[in-house]
Amino acid sequence: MVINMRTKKVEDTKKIFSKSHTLLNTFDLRDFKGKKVLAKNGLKVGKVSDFVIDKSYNIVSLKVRNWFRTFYVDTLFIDSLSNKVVKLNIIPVVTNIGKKVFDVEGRYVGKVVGLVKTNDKNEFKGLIVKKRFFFRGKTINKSDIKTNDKNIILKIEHVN
Amino acid sequence: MKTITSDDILGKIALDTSGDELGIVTELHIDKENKTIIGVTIDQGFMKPSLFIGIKHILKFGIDSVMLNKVPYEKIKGLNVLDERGELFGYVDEVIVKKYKIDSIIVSKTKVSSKKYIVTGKDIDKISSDVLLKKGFKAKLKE
Repeated sequence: MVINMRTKKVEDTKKIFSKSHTLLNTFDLRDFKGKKVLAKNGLKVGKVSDFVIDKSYNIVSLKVRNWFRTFYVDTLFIDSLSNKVVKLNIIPVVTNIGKKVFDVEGRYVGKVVGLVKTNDKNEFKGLIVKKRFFFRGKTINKSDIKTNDKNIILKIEHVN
Repeated sequence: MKTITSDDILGKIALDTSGDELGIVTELHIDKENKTIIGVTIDQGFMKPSLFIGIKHILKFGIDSVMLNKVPYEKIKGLNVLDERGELFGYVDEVIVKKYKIDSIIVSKTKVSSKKYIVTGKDIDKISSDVLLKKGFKAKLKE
């Protein structure tokens, strides 16, 4: 882990602790705010906007913000921390939103506007795809997806 | 026999295997003697050079798009190169291909820097929107 760790002892007069603590090799959470968050494949998924702590003051998750989209990532999914970047060991499923969907015949099916999820895990059952803003969304099963990278290509032909 | 016209190809989006939009098909290249299509030109947009794709690399002339069966190496040029921690190492300046595989990439620290490094294909972990390097990669200074 490469990060700006505290390398000097904090003066005793500046500390209020139940036990003695040098505060060496610790860091301020504020330093993390605004850092870039990268997915496993190097894709930028947003910036750290906040941290979530539970009643026992443990950090539960990172609050990641990408423009108007906010999502929460479990701290278990943090792969590495550096001075500029927080790298995750997953590709968050929310990054699928906004991708274009094409069928096997190269037909444009629409844009992903939502996900069908059954739990809080980094999994999805299907995609909600819309061709136009006022159109009703169609659901595409995960099993029908052939390629999911920059955009999505389906295994099947999709006739409107 | 299914036939299509040039109107069904020109103006369509070109997609690579990852589904990335490369640009718009602007030209068809026809062999004058054999009367066959040998490839298409893709307009990659403002300030980017046009890309010629041979007919061998075209998977399908689709309804709304032209689908390719490979990712052009030209696309890698200019991408950010990140180390295993996700920190910026440099930018791809050149891609060296041997036997249809990436042999190495030449990375410059900044976009105008003359100091360049060679990173072998073995040290590349993933190529997506950025080039991600493996842990403990070795970069040789290019002379």
